[in-house]
Amino acid sequence: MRDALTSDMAAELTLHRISVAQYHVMAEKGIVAEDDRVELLDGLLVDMSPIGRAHWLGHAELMRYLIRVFGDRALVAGQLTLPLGDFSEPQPDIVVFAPRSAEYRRREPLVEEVFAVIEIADSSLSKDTGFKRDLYARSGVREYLVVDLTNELLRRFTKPTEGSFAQVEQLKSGATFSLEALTDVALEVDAFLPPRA
Amino acid sequence: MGVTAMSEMALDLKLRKITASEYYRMADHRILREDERVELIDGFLVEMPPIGNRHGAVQAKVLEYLFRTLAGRVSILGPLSVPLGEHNVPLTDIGIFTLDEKGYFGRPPRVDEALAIVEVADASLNKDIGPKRDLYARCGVTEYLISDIENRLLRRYTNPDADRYRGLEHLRYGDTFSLKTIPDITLDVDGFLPPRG
Repeated sequence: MRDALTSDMAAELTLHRISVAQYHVMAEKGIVAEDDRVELLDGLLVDMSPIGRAHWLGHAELMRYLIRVFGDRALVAGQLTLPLGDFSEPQPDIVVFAPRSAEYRRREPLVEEVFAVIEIADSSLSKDTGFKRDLYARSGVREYLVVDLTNELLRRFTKPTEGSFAQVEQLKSGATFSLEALTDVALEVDAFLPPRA
Repeated sequence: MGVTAMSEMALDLKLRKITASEYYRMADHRILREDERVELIDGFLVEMPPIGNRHGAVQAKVLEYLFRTLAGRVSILGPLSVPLGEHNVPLTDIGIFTLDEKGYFGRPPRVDEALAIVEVADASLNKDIGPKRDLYARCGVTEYLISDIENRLLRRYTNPDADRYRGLEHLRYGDTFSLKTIPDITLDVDGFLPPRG
């Protein structure tokens, strides 16, 4: 029996999209369990990739680095749900926000308050640089960083314009850069990559 | 964003499969509304096209013909959803089932009670002769009839095997046939098609 959506099938079927509000009811009623590793992308329920050791360790180290370099300048959050429009609620690996904790107690952060979204990609590279990149661009996320563990580089997407990121850079070990929203804080690419063997 | 574009992008994602029981709970909580016409095919929520005038008129004509010809011998239901295993709840135009005195009130019919499924195909032809046909074959639906409005013929599929129907006939105005499971009643193909002319 078929296990995945094939291109033949996809051509004939119109997938039904679920809204963020409906998705929340599903979670509330236990139709999607809390420990179910899924996220809502463009109205579709998508399985999240399993977390490998390289992934969680890189995640923990990168969180520690970002919290240290940004200090009071930004909030750094791991694996939170980020509502983007009516049909998407991805769970990025790391989100860097404007430090407005008082506001966030009352409401969700707005996309303008997101300084950067970071994904750590091993097996999920094609999703992170495909569907998710386009989703973040369409939603107006101003900077998107993908830690590409396979090729040991940092893919940086900026300037979201008309549904795609106008600027793409591949940063290698040794390089430095700054977030567009925090130009005075220098970041080292090496802090994003696994230590060299 | 176009519908096809979405399906193509969705191929990049590992969509989470939805089970029949989750589908029914989504319906109970009005996450899926009756007027939305969403069916479950291989674990994916799929939208049905709206019922056009021609489709509705032919469906009513077929139902009327079947009631007139087969009343008392079988239960005729339509439109209805038929649970087929763990990941499928297709919406079907017409189902012909073994006679149930209560008319299947309070429980859905089982697949082993299905004598034939009839789909009226207008906008939905490619889906009806593609993924849905294969699904009915896999689930062992004895006989599958498609009233093909555009081409003015009745497509008759019989002898289901593991993943397809081995028998296919194209029946036209003036032809007669009998359902495999009710060989003593002759059916007119005209009863399944739009009025001639």
